[in-house]
Amino acid sequence: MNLREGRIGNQEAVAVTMLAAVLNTVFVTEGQRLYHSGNQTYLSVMASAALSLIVFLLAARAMAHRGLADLNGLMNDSFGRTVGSILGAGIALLLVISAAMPLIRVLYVLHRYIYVDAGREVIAVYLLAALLILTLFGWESLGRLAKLCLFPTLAAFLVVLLSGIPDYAPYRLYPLLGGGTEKFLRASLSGVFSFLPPLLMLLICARGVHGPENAARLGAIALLFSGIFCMLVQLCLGLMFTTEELSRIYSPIYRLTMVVRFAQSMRLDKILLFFWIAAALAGMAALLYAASLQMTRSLRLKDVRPAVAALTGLGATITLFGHYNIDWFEKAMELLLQYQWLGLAAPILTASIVGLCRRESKLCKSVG
Amino acid sequence: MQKRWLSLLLVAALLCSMTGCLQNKGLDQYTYVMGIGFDRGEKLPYRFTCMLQKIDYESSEQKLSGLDIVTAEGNNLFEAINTLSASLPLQLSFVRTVLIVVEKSLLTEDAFLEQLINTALSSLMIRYNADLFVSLCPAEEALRGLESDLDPGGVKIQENLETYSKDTGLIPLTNLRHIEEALLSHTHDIVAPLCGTASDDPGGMQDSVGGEPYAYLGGNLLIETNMKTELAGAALFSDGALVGLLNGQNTQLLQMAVGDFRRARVRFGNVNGMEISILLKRQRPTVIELTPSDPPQARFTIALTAYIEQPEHLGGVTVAQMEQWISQQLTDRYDRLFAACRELQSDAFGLGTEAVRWFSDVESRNAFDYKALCASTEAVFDVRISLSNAPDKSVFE
Amino acid sequence: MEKKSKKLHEYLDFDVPPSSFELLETESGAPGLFGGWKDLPPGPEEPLRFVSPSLQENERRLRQECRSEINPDVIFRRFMIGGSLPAMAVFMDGLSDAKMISDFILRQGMNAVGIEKAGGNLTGFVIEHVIAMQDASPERDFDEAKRAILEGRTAVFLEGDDRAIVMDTRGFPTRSVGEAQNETVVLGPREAFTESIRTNISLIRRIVRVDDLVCEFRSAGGRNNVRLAVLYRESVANRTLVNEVKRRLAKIDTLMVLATGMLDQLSEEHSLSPIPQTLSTERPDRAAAALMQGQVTVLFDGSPIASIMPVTLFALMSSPEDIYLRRPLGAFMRVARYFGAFVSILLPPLFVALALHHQGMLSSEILATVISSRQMVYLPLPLEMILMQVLFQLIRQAGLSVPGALGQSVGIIGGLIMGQAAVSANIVSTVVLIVVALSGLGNFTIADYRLQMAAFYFRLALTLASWAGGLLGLSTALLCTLAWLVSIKSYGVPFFAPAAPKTYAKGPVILRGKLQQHRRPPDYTNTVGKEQA
Repeated sequence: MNLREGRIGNQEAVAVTMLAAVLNTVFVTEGQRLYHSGNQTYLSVMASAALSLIVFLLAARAMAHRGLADLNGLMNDSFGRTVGSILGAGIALLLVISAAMPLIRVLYVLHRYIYVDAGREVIAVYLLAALLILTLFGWESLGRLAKLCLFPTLAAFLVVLLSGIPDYAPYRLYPLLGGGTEKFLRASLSGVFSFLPPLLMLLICARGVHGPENAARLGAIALLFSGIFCMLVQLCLGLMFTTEELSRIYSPIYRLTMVVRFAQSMRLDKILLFFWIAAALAGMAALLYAASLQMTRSLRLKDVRPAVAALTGLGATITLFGHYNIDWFEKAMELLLQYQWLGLAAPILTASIVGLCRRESKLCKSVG
Repeated sequence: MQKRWLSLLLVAALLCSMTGCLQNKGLDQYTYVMGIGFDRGEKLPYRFTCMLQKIDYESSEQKLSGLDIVTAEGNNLFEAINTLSASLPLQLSFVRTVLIVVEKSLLTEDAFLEQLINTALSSLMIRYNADLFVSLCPAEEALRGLESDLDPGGVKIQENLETYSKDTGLIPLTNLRHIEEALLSHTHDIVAPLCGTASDDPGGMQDSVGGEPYAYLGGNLLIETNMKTELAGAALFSDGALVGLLNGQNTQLLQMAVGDFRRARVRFGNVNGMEISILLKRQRPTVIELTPSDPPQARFTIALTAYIEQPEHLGGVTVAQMEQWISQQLTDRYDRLFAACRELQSDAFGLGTEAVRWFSDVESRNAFDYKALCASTEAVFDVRISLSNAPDKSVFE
Repeated sequence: MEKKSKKLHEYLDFDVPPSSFELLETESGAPGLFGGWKDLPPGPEEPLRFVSPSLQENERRLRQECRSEINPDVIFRRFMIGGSLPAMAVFMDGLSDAKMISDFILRQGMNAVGIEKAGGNLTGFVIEHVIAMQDASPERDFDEAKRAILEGRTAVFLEGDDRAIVMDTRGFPTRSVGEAQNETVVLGPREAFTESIRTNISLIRRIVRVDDLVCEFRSAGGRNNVRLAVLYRESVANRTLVNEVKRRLAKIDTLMVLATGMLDQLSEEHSLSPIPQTLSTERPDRAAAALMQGQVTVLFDGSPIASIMPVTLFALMSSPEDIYLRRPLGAFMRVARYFGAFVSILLPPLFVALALHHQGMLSSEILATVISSRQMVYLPLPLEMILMQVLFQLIRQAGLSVPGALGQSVGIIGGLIMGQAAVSANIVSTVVLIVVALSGLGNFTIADYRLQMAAFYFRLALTLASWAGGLLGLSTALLCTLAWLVSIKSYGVPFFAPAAPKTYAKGPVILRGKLQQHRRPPDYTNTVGKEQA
């Protein structure tokens, strides 16, 4: 078996989950949908994190209860091998989409603001080649890489968030819950797609983080910090830009570096952006690896590398397709985010409930 | 195993190299635009002026040797840029643009600012913190007048403008980001700094407030220096169109109330028959309370520290009397200033940014008539002065 | 046809497990001494040959195998022990100490009395009563006796006994213990290893005076039969690590192994990597410190360099002097070293990226200086940068190759005059020259010589990436490089331990920790004994 799983420590697991979650959220806020009816994202982010945590903890608990080593085992155990494999493959595909979404944004920002004269495919090659190489390194290397990248990335965010303090104005946040309760709930539900895939990554690679109980603990810690950090980022964005501006801005966090005086005078905007892009690549590579591992297990293969190559190619296709057909893609994403709980959260919740209702098993079942 | 890794890495590297470099032009193939000016053209609708950094290749010390001013006319900005690019050996780059100067007559049109924002930010990639200036003279002359031997490449222009604004309060600073916010949100209006050359008669500047027994125009000092362009005063806007002007002292008042203000030197006349000069510093941020009554009531609480620069001229006046007198003077001037802004329907005081807190949803917030609010609000200015005995830092610090 | 399908099958055969050895993962069960993912096919075993009781037979075999008719180095000295027992001393001229042989073997042997009392145990009697050598042992294996002769020891064969007496009479000329040339320190000892393995072991034992220091001798794995010594502390070093070191050394089968450098490449997991996975040192104190902390040290007979394993990046970046300096100064020196390494690797590609792709990020003054300095330069900026870096390496290599004082002059002349001439001739610009010079200075702050060379590769690769993609190319290349570095293991220990993965150790990784922390071995080697502070 060549699954390149290995084992990583607690700090590494938290780091890789946090990177994926933070960058998924920061780069994937759809302006039009989220902000046009008021900015409550800084609150809905915490609600999304809480909802994701509930789903995740239930799944981890069910896995521990049934003595299962990974998420594929839970799906097979609850739904049977065939249906479990199909659902598992579906989860893998959703993870690929989750990995592709920030890349579409990153590609747009790079093409729009930095490499204006270059072709989009050319820029994409740099990102996707790096993504493929990183994903092939495997879980162990990705965990260690994330550990090294996490603090510089968070520091890079904090530099710009803190240096914007003189320009923040509370009036930009009003109306505070502009969209009303219904829109708040909808935003919370769609935000689950930012937090849940990194958590599922931990469950898929539960073996690599010393079991589902440990994965649950680490996921909760990672989500707590990620949620607080994302809330801080969204709050600062809300204090800097009005909802009208946020509805039109494609990448609010990069726009923040462009307007903050300190970042402009020190010419930090591009340096910070590339810090974030590097971290995003590490986080997305981890997501892609988890998707590949899940796919490998669902299809009962023995090596993860074909799945890595295939799913990275799929991710590349989605990235470029989404970038070229941005309107169509936005509509598709809106639908996906509205109903992603059907494809992602619902099967996992169902599997968790089924698993919890069954009797406890101490055996650690092997894959497939 | 290792061969596979190497092959993969080689393929990836080759892929990257086969796609070619992301950018083909080197740094010596660009010329950098420090400022842009907009005027009405003679033959075509617009005349555009670009202020380019000049590099002295021969010098062993100072490489930046001044600024080149080039102009072109066109139906729109892109036409003019194309004309300029064709005539210059190097490609124009706007990544270092820090100034946009617009002749005032262009700004009376509603849509000009909006078009400028869209073009500048989205197409030319001009920085968001580029400052906008309204020029009383042709923008080309204003840009020429900003050249100085002390700052040959125009590297420190923006930094100097910021310091000037904070330390004198004679000009506000408005950049493209502020303009975009105001135009998109429609809740408040921008106030842009004024500039002009010494060829204009300073006394002829029509201040929208009026009623001053004397004309106070800071910036006259600048005539004595090499810089020919004066910077003093503010342009009032309403919904993106220029509606009025403020002189230097009224601008100081506005900055003291709601601007990014550090200190200002204000002259008051006729205390015991003498003109006195007072240095004012902001003590704490201004508190604005807006009550949604009929008519809406606004209360501005402005706390300032005052330092009288020639106290020996004030024999027989107590501290409390002086504080009261200064406060009264400022309150009177604020009342006149606010009335002028209200009449022009320019929300220079940012009442709209307070009014947004009344609403619980975006629809009602967007449906609200902010111009009506601006036109009907009654303001009370509570100016609290603390006279300081301690000598403050000199301007020459 | 079968061959072709086999190749196809191999190409599609993904079920090939990685051959990396994971030290930490196998803690619960140590692997076999000679195991691994792929078991090597055993070679044909040579039959054991014993020493013959016939002196003539032994002489004949030795003369034949050592080619004595054309190889006069092997000396065959027949003599009589006690006047009655025929014996033959065989030794290598030049490797053995002739005086020792004459005084303590030949003279003692010839003057021996009471040989008739030996009975059947001739060898034992001679060892105990006749020969006055401190190291004398019987040897039945003929090949072992031959090997001893070739190493410089002396074998004495006795008529009628099937055992030879092997004695240590090595006396080949060696360098005396001198100063370390490449790892100089201001404070701290100045001794360095020499080419004699025995001397090197003595130097280490002088510092590490513990009873559990084990020194196991092995042959190096090449046909040239050179000896090496594996040193470790038996009650501290991780048993799995020691077994793995021995397993890898045993796996070596080449024509010759001449020095530690070759040994490292033959035993490392990532032999093609520019990053070393062992620490090479010529200082006994450094080797002693590593041994005390539970690492394994390998000494090579004929090489003044010791190999220490496992090693991490932070160990490679540390200098022997760090521990001798006061803590704040040591910490500062370390920070300066890391800063120098960053400058060395990142400054040229960063400059290329900013100058080519992101000019807006440079300040106007620097931009103007760069533009004006490049006015007449023909080469594109990245090529200029690469050319200057290669030139820098050429000058460095020339300085190393040319002996003595002339080598220093070459460095100075090459650096100053050629640099100035290149600028005057508009081949390069002054700014690029400064960047490359700074980068070179930063390179020299890296403590490990091989890591310095590796930095050059990284610098070049990142410069190419910056050329192609600006900051995007640089950041993606840097990320991939970092990912590759964290995936490397040195004898099972991740290269970035204890930073990534985080281990139990609480001490600082980059800054110098408290001396008290050195009471406890680093936990990433999972040492057996836990010494108490």
